[in-house]
Amino acid sequence: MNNNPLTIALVGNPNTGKSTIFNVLTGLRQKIANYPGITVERKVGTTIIGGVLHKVIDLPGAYSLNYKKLDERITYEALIGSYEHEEVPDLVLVVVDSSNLDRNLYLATQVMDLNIPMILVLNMTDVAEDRGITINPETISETLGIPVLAISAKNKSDVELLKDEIQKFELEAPRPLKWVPDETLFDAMKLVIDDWIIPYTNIPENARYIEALRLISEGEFIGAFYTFEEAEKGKKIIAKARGMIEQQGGNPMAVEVLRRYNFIGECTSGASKQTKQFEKTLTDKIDSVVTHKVAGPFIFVAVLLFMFQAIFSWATPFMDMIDLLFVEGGAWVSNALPKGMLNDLLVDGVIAGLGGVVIFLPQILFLFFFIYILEGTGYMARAAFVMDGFMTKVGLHGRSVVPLMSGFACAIPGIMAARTIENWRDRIITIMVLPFMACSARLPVYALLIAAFIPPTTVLGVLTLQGVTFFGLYFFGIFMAVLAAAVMKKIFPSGKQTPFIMELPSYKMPKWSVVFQNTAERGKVFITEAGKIIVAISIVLWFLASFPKVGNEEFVSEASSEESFESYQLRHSYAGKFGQIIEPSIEPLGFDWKIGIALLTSFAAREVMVGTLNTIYSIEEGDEVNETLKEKLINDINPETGKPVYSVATAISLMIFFALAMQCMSTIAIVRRETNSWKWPIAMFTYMTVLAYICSFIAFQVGSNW
Amino acid sequence: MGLDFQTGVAFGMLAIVLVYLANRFVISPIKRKSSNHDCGPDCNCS
Repeated sequence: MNNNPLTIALVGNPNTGKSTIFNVLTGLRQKIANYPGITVERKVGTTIIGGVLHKVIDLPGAYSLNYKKLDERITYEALIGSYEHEEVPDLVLVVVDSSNLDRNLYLATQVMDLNIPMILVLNMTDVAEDRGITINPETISETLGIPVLAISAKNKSDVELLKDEIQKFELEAPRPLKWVPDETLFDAMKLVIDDWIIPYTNIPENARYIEALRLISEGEFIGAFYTFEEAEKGKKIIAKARGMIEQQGGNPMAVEVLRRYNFIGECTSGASKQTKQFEKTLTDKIDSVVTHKVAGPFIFVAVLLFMFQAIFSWATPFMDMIDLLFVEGGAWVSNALPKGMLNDLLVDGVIAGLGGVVIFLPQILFLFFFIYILEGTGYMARAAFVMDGFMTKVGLHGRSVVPLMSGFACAIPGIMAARTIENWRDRIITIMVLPFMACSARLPVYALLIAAFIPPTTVLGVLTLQGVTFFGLYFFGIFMAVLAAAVMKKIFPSGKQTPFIMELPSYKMPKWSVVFQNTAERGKVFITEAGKIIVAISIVLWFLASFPKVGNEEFVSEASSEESFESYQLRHSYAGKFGQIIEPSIEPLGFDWKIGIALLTSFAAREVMVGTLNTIYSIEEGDEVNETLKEKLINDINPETGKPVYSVATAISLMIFFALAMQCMSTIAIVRRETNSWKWPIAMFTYMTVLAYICSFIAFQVGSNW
Repeated sequence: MGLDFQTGVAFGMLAIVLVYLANRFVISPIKRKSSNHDCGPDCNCS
C-alpha cells in the first residue's frame, strides 16, 4: 500500500492518450510551461489518491529513448534525472496503444531497462476491440514481470482503476534487460560501460545500459549533453564496440532493435489475438481519400482556399464595427479635449495608429480559429503527410511541413519548430524559406489593400475576387518558399537523408474549449505585444511627422495652390524630409515617400505599416477625422501630378513587396539565435529584400503599362 | 515661452515611449546577449 507522496511520470508514444490520462488524473491542478530554454512543453500537475498528494509529470511523446527528436531527448533526460529541478520519478506509467501493441512496447521495454518502478497501462482498449484485437494483460504482466492494466482513458471509471493500482503498487523496479542481448552485443555494451561511461561520464547507474545501447546504435555523440572531457577517447571506444558487432556480421544500428522486437513478439504472441477480420475504421476510410496521392493535394489546396475566403468574408462585419468605433472615438476625443498638442497626438497618433491595427483582430482570430481546428481534428498531420513527397522533391523534408504551416501564424515559432529536423541542410533550408509563408502580421496589410483596390466581384459563383486575391497572396508565399528551396537544394550539397516517420492520429472532433482558449490567447498576444509597439511607434512617428512646425507665411509663399496646410506641414516635417530622401529608390516600385516611411517603421513589426499609414494620413487631413484609412488611400492625390497616389498596380506591387521582403526584426533575431551565426540572417535579409524589390518592380512596371 | 499643459503631457508621453523602445530593442537584447546563453538544439542548460 502506497502512503507516501510520489513523483509519477507518464511516458508513451505520441497519440496513445497519455495526455487524456494526465488531464483526468490532475483535473485543473496542472501547470504548463516550457522546459528551460527550449520550446518543449512541460506539463506538471498533482493528483490525490487515497488522501495522498502525488506529483504527476506528463513527459513529451517518444517512440524510443534512442532519441531522434528534441521531445524524445527531454523524455530520456527527465527519466534519468538530468534536470536539476526535476526529480527522478518514483513511478513511471508507460501508456501504450493497445491496438498497436508491438510497436508501443519497444519504448516500454527501454523504460524497463532504466530500472525504475513502472506500471504498463494498455490504453485505447476500445479501439483495439473495434479492430478485433483481444489482449490478455495478465499474460503480459507475467512475461514482463511488471503490473499491467488494460483501460480506456475515455472512461473515468477505468482511470479510477488506475488510481487503485497506483495506491496498491509496491515500489519495486523491474529487472533490467529481460530481453537479453546476444553475446556480442552484450560484450560491446560492457566495453562502452566499463571503458567509457563509468570512468569518464556522470551518467547515473540505472541509465548505463540504455546509454551504451544508444551510443552503439548512433555511433557518435549526437546531441550528447554530458560533459565528455575526453570525447576523442570515447569515440574510439564506441567505434571499437561497433566493430565487434560488425565482425560478427551484425549491424550496430539494428542489432538492438531486432533483439528487442524478437522479445516483444514472444511476449505478445500468447497475450494478444486478432479475433475478427481487420475492418477499416472511419479514420482509415477518410484517409483513403484525404491522403490519396492525387486527391490529397487538391483537398489540401481546397481547405486553404476555403479558410482564407472565410477569414476575409466572415470577419468583415466585425471589422466594420471596430472601424466605426475608432473613427467615432477619435472624433469624440477630439471634441472633448481642448485644442492643443495632446489632442492632436491622441487623435492622430495614438487612436489612429492603434485603430488601424485593432481592426484586424477579427481576421487574426478567425485565422487561428481555423488553424487550431485543423490541428485538433488531426488534419494538420495529414497535410504534412500529403505534402511530404512534394517537399522532398523541392529540397525540403516532410518534417518541414509543420514548421512551414506554423509560419502562417508567425515565422518565429515555425523557425523554432524546425529544430525537429535533424539534418542540418534540411533545417537551414527550411529556416531560410520559412519567412515567405504569409504570417498573420502581413494579414492587416493585405486586407487593407485588397479591400481598397480589389473589387468584390463574384468568381465561380461562391467566391469573391477579394477572397481569391487573398488566397493568391498566401499561395504566392508558398510558391516562392518552394522555389527558393529548390534553388537552395542546388546550392547546398546534399547530406545524409533522414526518413520521415510520422503517426497519423485518428480523426476526432476538436476540443472546443481548447480551440477557443488558444484562439483567445493569440488575440490577446496580438493586442498586447504588437499593440504596445504600435502605440509607441505611432507616438514617435506623430512627433517626427509634426515637427519642425512651418509658419503660415512660409506656407502662403511656398505651397502650391492645391496643397493644404496640413499636407505642406507633413511634407516639411522630419519624417517627410526623410521619406523624400528615400523616395527616388522606391519610386520605380510605385511607392511614394509616405509608403517609404511605413516600410521603414514596419521593420519593427509588419503590422506597424497600417498604423503608420493611418497616423500619416490623419496628420495630413488635420481635423477631418471621419474618413477610414481605406477611403484615405483611395482618395489620396499626388499634388504634383494631380493623379491618385494608389493605383491597382501600386497596391499589387506593395503586396508583393510585403509578401517577399524580410520586414521583421524579430525573425532576424531568432534566425541568429537558432543558427548561432550572423551569416544566415544577413543572407536571408539580403536575398529576400533583393527578390522583393525585383518582383515589385516588375509587377508595378507591367501593371501600370497594361 | 512657457510650456502649456497639453504640450508638456505630449512630450512626457514621448519621453516614456522612447525609454520603452530603447529598453525593448536595445537594452534587453544586449542584456540577453551578455548572459551568454544561446540555447540551441544541443544546449546543456537545465
